[in-house]
Amino acid sequence: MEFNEVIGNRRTIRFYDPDRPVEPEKIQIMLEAANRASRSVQGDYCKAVVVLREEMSDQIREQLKTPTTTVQFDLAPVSIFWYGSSDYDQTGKERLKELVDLGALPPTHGWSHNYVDEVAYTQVVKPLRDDEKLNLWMVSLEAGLQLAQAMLAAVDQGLGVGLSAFNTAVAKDLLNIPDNLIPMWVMFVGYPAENPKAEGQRPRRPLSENYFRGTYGTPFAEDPAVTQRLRDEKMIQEPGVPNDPARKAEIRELAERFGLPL
Amino acid sequence: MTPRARPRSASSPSDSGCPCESALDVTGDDATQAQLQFVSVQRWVAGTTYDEEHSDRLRQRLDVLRGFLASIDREPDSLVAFCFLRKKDTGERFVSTKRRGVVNEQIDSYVQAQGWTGKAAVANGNIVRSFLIHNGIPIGGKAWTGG
Repeated sequence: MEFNEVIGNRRTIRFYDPDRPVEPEKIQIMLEAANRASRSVQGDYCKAVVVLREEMSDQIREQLKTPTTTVQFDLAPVSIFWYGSSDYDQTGKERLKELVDLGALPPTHGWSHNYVDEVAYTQVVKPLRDDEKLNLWMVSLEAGLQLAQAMLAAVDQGLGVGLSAFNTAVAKDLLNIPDNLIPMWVMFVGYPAENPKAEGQRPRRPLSENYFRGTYGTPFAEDPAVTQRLRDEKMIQEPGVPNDPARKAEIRELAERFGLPL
Repeated sequence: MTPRARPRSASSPSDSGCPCESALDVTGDDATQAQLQFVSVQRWVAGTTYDEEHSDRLRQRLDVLRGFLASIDREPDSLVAFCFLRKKDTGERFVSTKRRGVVNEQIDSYVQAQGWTGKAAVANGNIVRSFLIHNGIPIGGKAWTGG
């Protein structure tokens, strides 16, 4: 699948086929995509635990649910529990020096081993780590980059994915999660039981409402030719139609198949 | 339900103002008609537009709900009200996690008492959950996966 189409095809999937397992290699590809994400100071901000549906008892799945994370735990063949890690400072110096040695952080941009020791680590990384709010911001943002790449890798392989909340206390015990990890999301993975395009692309506001040029509030002007190209390449797709009878019929069929509330 | 199910706003379904009447041709015995007088039931029926051409299934759902409510000795509006509490300082209404859990267990007990098993157990329990969901109470459903 072409890159632009992968972005355009991604939706949050809520109905998975419980009888169609996910190939392990596809999970590995998702994790490697996450591992390749951009990351500041070369830190390891993200940890993930992959759990198959059959590895969780009915009781555990019930306990992991939240009011809005419900049947996904019953349906998705794979759940990936994502956590943010605040340990990035522990290897911060060495990782940064690696980049200096590789020439990724060159002296042309002010980088040297001494700068790492005396400024970058002691005056930037460590204070960030020591400030609870800043640390949470840093870890969440950096983890989010990894999750996004994992999701796109899943879509590229024909899988459905969705992020959701989970009962973090139950998961902590179940997965043996260390105290210093910060729960992010559970990522459900599986082959969609619903038509992944059935309800169209999720509505998004035009670029001009949220993206600006020069100063905040000055809309970024779209080039209609580029917009059309993105339509042709399926990054921009037709949005869903409210109360679409076909979508309603599909949800009804899924509810009947799985005995869900309707 | 429902010797206790008292009409709330109208004496007959035809002038109840229930949106369900335009969406669904719901007729039935007195118990069903009495059920449809409750605001919470009207809201539920109006919300189940995914199934608007299947009024027979709606009657079956009303029966399941009625049986559950009888088992816990509550009327539908009262069950919804039970799931909410108000903050002492602001008066803001919120769903009580504890009470929702109590109701969830009551649903499971009812399903068990009825002797429903397999998919019927899951689907019938979720009928009651659907009633709660359409009344603003997000309550975890289960899925039938054939296991």
